[in-house]
Amino acid sequence: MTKPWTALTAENVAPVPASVGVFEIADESGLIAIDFAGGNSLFGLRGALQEWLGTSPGLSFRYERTNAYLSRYRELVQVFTNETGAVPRNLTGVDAPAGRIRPN
Amino acid sequence: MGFAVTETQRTLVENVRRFVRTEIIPLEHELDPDESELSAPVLAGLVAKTKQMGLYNLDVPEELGGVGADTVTRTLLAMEMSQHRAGLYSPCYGAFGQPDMAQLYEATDEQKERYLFPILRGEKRSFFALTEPAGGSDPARAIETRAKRDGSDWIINGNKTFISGADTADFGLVFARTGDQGSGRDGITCFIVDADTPGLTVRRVIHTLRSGHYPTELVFEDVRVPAEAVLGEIGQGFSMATERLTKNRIPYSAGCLGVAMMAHRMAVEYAGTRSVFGSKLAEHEGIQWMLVDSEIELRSAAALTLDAAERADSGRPFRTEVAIAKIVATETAGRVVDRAIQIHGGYGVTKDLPLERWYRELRIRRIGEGSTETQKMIVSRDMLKGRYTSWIDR
Ligand SMILES: Cc1cc2nc3c(=O)[nH]c(=O)nc-3n(C[C@H](O)[C@H](O)[C@H](O)COP(=O)(O)OP(=O)(O)OC[C@H]3O[C@@H](n4cnc5c(N)ncnc54)[C@H](O)[C@@H]3O)c2cc1C
Repeated sequence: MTKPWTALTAENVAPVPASVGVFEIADESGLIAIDFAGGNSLFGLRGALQEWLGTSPGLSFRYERTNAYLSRYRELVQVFTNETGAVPRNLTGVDAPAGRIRPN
Repeated sequence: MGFAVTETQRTLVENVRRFVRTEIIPLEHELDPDESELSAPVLAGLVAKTKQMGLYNLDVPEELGGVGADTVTRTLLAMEMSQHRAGLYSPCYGAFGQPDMAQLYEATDEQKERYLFPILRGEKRSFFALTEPAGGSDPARAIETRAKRDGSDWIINGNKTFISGADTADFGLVFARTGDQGSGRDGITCFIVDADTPGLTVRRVIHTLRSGHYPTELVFEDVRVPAEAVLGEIGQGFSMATERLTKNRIPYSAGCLGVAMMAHRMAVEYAGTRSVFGSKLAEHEGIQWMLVDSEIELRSAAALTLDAAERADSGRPFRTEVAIAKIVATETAGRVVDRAIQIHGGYGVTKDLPLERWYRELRIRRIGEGSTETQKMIVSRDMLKGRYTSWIDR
């Protein structure tokens, strides 16, 4: 994902579409979470991002609307894992998508 | 057509139907509507049950430890296994066995130990790499990936596209042109390539209208494999690829009919409960006709599919019948699900129901595994060359 990062504030999250898609969360150390808003989500990307409000200070986010949210989520996790050698922090110890991808 | 369901087949169908309704559908309430996979422990629990039922690895010959079901039985069961949300492409999430790469039945004993048996035990995953950017309908001409000898090794260079599941696979079957081994079909050899071989890159996931499924693009840059990586005979890879694809198109077609049968049943039930303009949907002729059209088309398509299966089992020619069944089943299923959506109105397009998922996924089935056009080409060739005249005299 190459979109610009936006500060994670209630004001910035409010206009995010309620559609399905993928998103990333970063703090001052870099990217900390990759996740998706899927077919079960109540308010799509907006709802999923609102859950991060107030969790810790200084967070930022970026997102992509996509109907193929599961494949895109998996791809983002695989690229991140390939580049850093570890899964993003929100997936440590949970059922993270496995696999390998080496974009060039 | 001389087809009758045996008592054993009826019992199997009833067992699988019960399994889908009691074990699979409740699980889907918790899953994302587009998800195609279960967590490993949940899947292991399901597999234990299908093993107990004696139905694990249905397609696999008995001598390799499978059930060795005939094509008719596999077809009947495919219609049942697909009757849940992810059923079209992930029947029961693999609880009855993963796609087994039947080409590996031709493998050497050593290759079987290393690749086939782990697949059958559910320990390894594989990919099947035939399609290339230059075209998938006519792979014999389109394959540009080359394998050249270097001592006893082979070195593979080229690109593959639309390869399902290569990002999570342990190895794959890769079809490549082998130098001076002839041209067209005869010049193609199948190699078993380990996914972590240097030079093999999964470059990206290809996003399609089917969420939760991952065809990929592969790049081969000086991928070195040993002589033992050749599957079957050099130059004979193409016929090995296509031989089993033809027969497998029958249960493949049956899977499309299974989801369509479920969609149709949902439409009948909904039409009987929802009221518009003072009476039930089902009391309006416009709705009745839709339901009848679906019933007629489903019965016709199922009869054609089972006829092809019965021919395959009885050793009579079946290529034309499979092509006809594949066209009719995939196109019928698309129309039936479309009507079911229409009858459900706005609810039909929500992710609360499985209809929208089937509507999208069925679209792929008119392209994959031999598109409608290439199947028509097979039928017309057989008809015009007199190999196929009419169903009654063969
Ligand atoms: C989701 C998905 C998963 C896939 N997984 C795999 C996989 O795991 N492994 C693998 O090897 N491949 C895989 N494929 C590739 C698939 O087999 C090809 O997409 C298919 O064979 C068609 O090839 P093509 O897309 O290159 O279309 P083309 O061959 O370029 O054809 C384009 C169009 O022309 C039509 N056409 C072709 N010939 C004729 C003719 N004679 N007359 C009239 N019209 C014609 C076709 O029907 C099609 O509509 C997958 C595809 C998809 C979409």
